[in-house]
Amino acid sequence: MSMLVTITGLGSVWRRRTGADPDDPKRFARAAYFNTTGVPVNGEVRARPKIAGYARFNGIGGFDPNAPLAFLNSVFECAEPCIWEGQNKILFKRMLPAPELPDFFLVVVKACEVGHLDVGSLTWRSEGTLLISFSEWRNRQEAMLLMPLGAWLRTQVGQFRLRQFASWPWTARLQLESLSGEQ
Amino acid sequence: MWKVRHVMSGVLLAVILSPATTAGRMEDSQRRHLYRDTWYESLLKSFNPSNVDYGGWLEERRRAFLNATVTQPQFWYSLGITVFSLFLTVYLSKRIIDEHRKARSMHAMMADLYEHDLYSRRLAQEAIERHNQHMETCNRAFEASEAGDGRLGWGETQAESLKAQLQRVSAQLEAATQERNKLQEELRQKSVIVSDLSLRIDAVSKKVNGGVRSLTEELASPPSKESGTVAVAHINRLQEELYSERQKNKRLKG
Repeated sequence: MSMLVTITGLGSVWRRRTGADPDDPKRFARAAYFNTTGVPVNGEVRARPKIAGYARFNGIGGFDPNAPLAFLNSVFECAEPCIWEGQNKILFKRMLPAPELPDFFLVVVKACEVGHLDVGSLTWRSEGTLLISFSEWRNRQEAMLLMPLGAWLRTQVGQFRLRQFASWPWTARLQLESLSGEQ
Repeated sequence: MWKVRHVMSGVLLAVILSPATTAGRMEDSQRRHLYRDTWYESLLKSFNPSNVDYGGWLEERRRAFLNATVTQPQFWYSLGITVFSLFLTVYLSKRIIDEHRKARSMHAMMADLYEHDLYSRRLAQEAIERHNQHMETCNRAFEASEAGDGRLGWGETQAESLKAQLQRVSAQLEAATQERNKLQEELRQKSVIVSDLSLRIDAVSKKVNGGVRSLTEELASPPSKESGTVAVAHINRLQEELYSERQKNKRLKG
């Protein structure tokens, strides 16, 4: 029921939920952290969800909220994506001590980096890609996706394909493809 | 006789003594003139009528002050500590000012780098767009050459050029018509899908009202791996279609 996911990017919005009992000494160690997409609105990052969803990290699973970027390109054991209270959810259970080839890659893309995303069109992403969260405000967009290796994403700029690094095969990045389809 | 003699002696004595008395009076007058105070002495006496020795008093106080300060080791210790504190305050203030200046410089550099990054990305995007447009133009040129059409504007006469332009416009019109037909077909298919989904939603709602587990619980319950992923993917598509329809409605409302 679990799968392996490599984090290649994180959303702009973080939320935290600690235990309800203020006397619990491990209240913060057992906190849950929620990451989702967001866009800058009048100088502040707001969620503005068009398709709501989040990635959940547990403090007890080894997640350090003070250094979230340290988990980039790390492989996590995750629960299967599901719908919880109307929102897409993926739970990151624990980080693997040694990286392995993952099933999916958590990819976060922004319109200012890859071009405008035509979400809703039939061919804006490949089959097998799951859209976890999508935020939009005016021409600013941010999307969090679960993509398998080789999946593609089509934007206003062109087609991006997820390709793994040669030296670090457990992680990958989006590459803009030329018109002929060559790398 | 005795009386006369007595009177005479008195007169004689008066005569003898009279010049000496006059001279003594003159000497007293001169002495008094010599020892009379000057105007500034009188002025000073008016300031210090009791003739207090202020110089001596000041000297005494100075000696007491020196004995209480310069000769005491505590005085030098306090003076040293005060000077050191002042120096430390000045030094720390300078360090703080320097740190702020460094931070401002760093912020300015980071802002410059960020602006440069944005500028580079914009340029790269423009270059990619230009490249795509160029490749598209090249593709059309190749397609036209394969179809046997000459390049626009390369004809020998104006009539041939106009003819080529007419053919190109006709091809564009035909492509636009095909695109419209294709979009209409897609719209029809989407309408069918939406109707189908509406029926499914109605069915699910009826199930919920009938006491069956809610859709959320059903989706959140642990089914098999394949079915869960497929369900999420299906819901993903539905969410995207819903988003797309909302965007269309927004555009239509203006």
